[in-house]
Amino acid sequence: MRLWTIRTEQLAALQGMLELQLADRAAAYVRGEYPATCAALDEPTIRGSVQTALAKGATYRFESEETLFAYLDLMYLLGFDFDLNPRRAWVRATLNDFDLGARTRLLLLVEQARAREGRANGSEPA
Amino acid sequence: MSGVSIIQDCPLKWTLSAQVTVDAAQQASSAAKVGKIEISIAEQDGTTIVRHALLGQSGESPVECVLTGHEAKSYSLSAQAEDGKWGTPAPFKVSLVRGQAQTVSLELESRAAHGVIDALNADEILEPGDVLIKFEGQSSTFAEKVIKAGEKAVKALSGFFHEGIKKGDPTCFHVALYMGEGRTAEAYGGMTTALVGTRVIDAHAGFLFRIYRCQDRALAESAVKVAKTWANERMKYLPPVLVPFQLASFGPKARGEALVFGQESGREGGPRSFAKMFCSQFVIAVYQAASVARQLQKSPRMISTDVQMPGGLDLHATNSSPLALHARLEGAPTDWKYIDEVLVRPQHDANAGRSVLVEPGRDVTGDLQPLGNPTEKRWPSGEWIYARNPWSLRAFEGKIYVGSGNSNNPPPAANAGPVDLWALDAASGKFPDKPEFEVPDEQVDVFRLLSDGLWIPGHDSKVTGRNDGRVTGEGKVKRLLRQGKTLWNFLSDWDAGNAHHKAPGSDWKTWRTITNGIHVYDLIDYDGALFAAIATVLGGQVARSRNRGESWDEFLTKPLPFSRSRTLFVLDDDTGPRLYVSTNGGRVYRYDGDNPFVEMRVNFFPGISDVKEVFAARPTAFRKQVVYIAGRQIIDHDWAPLGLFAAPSPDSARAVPLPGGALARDLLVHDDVLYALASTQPSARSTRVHVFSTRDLKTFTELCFFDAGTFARSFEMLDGDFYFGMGCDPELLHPHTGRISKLPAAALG
Repeated sequence: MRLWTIRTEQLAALQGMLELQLADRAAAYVRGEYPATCAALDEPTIRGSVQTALAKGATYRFESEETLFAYLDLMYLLGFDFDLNPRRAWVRATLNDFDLGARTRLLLLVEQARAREGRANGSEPA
Repeated sequence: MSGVSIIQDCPLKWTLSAQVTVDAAQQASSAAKVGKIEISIAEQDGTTIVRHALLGQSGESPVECVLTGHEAKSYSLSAQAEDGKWGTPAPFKVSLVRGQAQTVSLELESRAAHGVIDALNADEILEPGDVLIKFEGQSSTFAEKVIKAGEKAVKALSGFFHEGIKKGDPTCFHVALYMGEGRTAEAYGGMTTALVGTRVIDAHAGFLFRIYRCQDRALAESAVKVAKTWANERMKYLPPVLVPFQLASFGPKARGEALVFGQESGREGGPRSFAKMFCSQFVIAVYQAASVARQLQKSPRMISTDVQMPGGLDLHATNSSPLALHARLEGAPTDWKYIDEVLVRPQHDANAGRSVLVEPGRDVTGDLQPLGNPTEKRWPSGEWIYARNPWSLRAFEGKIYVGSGNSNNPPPAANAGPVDLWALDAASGKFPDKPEFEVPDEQVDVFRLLSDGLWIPGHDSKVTGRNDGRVTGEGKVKRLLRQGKTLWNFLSDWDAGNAHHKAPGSDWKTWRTITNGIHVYDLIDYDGALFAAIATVLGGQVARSRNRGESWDEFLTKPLPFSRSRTLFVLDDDTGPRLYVSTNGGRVYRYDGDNPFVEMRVNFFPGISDVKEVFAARPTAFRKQVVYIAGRQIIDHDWAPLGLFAAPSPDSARAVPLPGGALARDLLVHDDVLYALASTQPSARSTRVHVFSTRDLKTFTELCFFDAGTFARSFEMLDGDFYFGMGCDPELLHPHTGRISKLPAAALG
């Protein structure tokens, strides 16, 4: 029996298309979760934040859509450069603790960030 | 390309996800923060994969995929906090097949509660400043027995002295002050070695304490500070033999004494005029010092008649026994709250937190056949019980040889040699009327079955004759004569170390040829020569004989006096078999043919932080590894087990905790199976002896267990039958020590 072969170029094209769709969903997510913050930002900045989060996936070893959105939550709760901000040092211990799975690290950080910011249920920072 | 995966996983996989939960109320009521959690995923062949989890505010960790695969598999999952204080009560078994996604919820329970404490969890039940009253267990030290005898007499006569004493329980016999972080301050130890210092609460393993808490928390904190300042081992222990017969009331003398305590509350090592204290005196004194120091801050010129004392502490410290203190605390409920009765967890493996649970083995308690106690006649009672410890059992030529004696210089049973070597006839199950050989050493600690027969390393040379006068009782003159003779003789005893050899079919022969070999701890065959682990005045050494003991060359390992080469073992590396020696201080040295041996910079006892007095006891070759018990020196040469370890090479040692954290005490290998003798203590008054077996050092099976009054120190196997030798620790002398029992192979099914 002859198997179908998917060429590398075809895979890359598929990946690119899915990435675009993911970026669209991520941008929609932050607009829905953090409307006030997004109202003050232009579209390229929002898109840029999503690209930043996508790129951080390799550094902080998260892969799923859920963890990408969690990383965006952290960016919108703690600041876009929260992972480098010396005032957010408490984040780094957990973020870089690769003994823990990505879901554990990011979901718990979001929980802590919301508790620290005193804004439960995903309400955005002032 | 981003790091985020876009392509979905293959749906033909199975996935295993796990979540860890803890009861929020239990977590809230516990002072312990759960922290990072280790999830162990064990395959049937013993391979274990480790993942980690962290709890959220709700007491649940996020669900995390921990494993994926294609082929059908079964796993056993367990979880525990990294500090060992929380864990799953039992492993959770799961089977996975292709296309299935399973999520397992692992609920952690606190391991602190239920009144069992140890150094790890003590802070969850105890608070600094708590007064701990120790109660009579099945076994006690000699000093504790003296106190108890006095307490009972006082109780009977209390009508003449002090009505309040009737509130006390005469079985209380020791008092300690809890300092926090698992440590106590107390006057402690045996009759001759005791002092006022701090120690880990685990030192009271197996005993019951009643906890009394001072309701004035500031006073409790101050008392802890005073105790820290005083308990630096300057003060010695005062055996309180006559104390219970004196008045304990808080009269003028007591007030004067309390004023001194207060004035000297900050003096390192305690009040200048007190060179000794006993347990209850120390605890009362530190509290009185804290209380009076506070009063002195307000009235620096106060005199003794001005001294006020809170309820429960209004005692004359120097005249107050544990019974008197207990009675006072019971009678002062507004100042002192009774918290609980706790059992200090019996000793367990240092890495018990990483152990798993297995199906219990066969209960063979009723199948044990008592074979006698060969050393009981010579050492019938008292401190001499300690010398009956069957340090090792070894089968040779149809007999089971029994180690015994004691080479410690301090009591109990100091320098008990020469040793009668008893050999059980395994066929008849009987000991002969007379010992087979008198070993001219203070102790027979181990037997080594080498290429040319059975060997006994000469633990501590004793060639100057036998004198059992101390056992049968001796007068002052005889004692002085003996002590003088001992001083004179020790030069002869130290002149050379011994190695005793029994070739098949021959009599025992002693080689007294190891120059200055004060202690010969181990013997091994290596590279065609006989090697001995020894200790001399120079320190740890290894002696090599190329003519089976006739003469020796000596090599240095760990220098300086009191350094000791304790055990020898061989491990293969790229170049072939290599000889290693384990010394005290947790060190390992390698023999490269040169003098001195080469020190290996390795952590041979992972999980044990203080290795100052630790060495690898019972090294046993198994599957190209050495399996060994971390042994911590107790007095001089004897050791207490801390945990089981294995190493294919010195730099890759790992903990191998036995199921349930059972404490390993002896090892043997038969037919490619490693057997581990271990013990646990289900309650203060019972010990459970376990035999575990493994073929791969990954999965242990409990072969059998039996309940006994004390632990089994050694075991041996011959023709499928097990032989056990019952032992005891120096602080817990037990009348069954020295008993030898047989478990017939038939009992194991």
